[in-house]
Amino acid sequence: MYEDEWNRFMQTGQISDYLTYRGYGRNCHDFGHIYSGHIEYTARKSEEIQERTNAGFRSSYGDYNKVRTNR
Amino acid sequence: MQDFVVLTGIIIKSEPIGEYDRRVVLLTKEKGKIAAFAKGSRRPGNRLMAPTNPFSFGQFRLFAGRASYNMSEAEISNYFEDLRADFIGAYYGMYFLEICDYYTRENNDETGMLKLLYQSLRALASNRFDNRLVRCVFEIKAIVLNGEFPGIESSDLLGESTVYAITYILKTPVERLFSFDVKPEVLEELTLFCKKICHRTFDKEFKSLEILENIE
Repeated sequence: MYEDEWNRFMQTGQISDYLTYRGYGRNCHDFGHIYSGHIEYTARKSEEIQERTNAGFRSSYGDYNKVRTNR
Repeated sequence: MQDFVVLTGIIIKSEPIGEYDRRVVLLTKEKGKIAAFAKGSRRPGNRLMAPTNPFSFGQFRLFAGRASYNMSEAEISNYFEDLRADFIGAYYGMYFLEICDYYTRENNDETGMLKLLYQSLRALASNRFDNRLVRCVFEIKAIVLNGEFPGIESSDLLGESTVYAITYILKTPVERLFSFDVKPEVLEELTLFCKKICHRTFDKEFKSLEILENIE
């Protein structure tokens, strides 16, 4: 969903999530030949910084995992 | 009967809670930074789904529960759609939200920070200003508003124009802050100066800044 994708991007900070939000598939290699220059640039940046799926800077559960005994 | 409060503010953080809820952090004019729960906001078609996303600015109707605020309604006046369309701008916005989260406190008068954040996001979205200039202005003004600006030292070796630009940022009210542009060499000096004072002032590494610097 549109709002969920934006929220995920704001939590993870990953370009692949941004591309999903813009409707270009989760994997940055999945666009085919139809994407615009902006999306191409965005995807290239994603590759440049060697983004990985689990490289997000925030846990999707925020601070809540910290207070739980998650062993 | 429950007591409602209507607050003007912006969502600075949103995280999923449980299966269908969200916990949001708002920077408000009336109560500073507060956290609230938006029940059911992750259900498809829920009216709070879009208003509880970061960058949503508007009026929020909350009621106080036993231990936290709960959001019941929201009337959003600006979703910053233009900013969302530009991913570099979105990262800058993310960085600004992180600084606001770091700097603001609950039940404190944070009107200045809210105004600064709103104007800075508008400046980012407008594309009339270089993003790096908006960042410098935001950083300097945020530090000034929180009373931590160290001043300009002679060892900074800044040019006359850069000193003038910094003085302008210090003295101008937030509403009229984004009304100037600088030459590339002044922007370079300003960026170095900001880096120095941020390193001295902030005792935290901002993750969004790390990403931003990787990308640029």
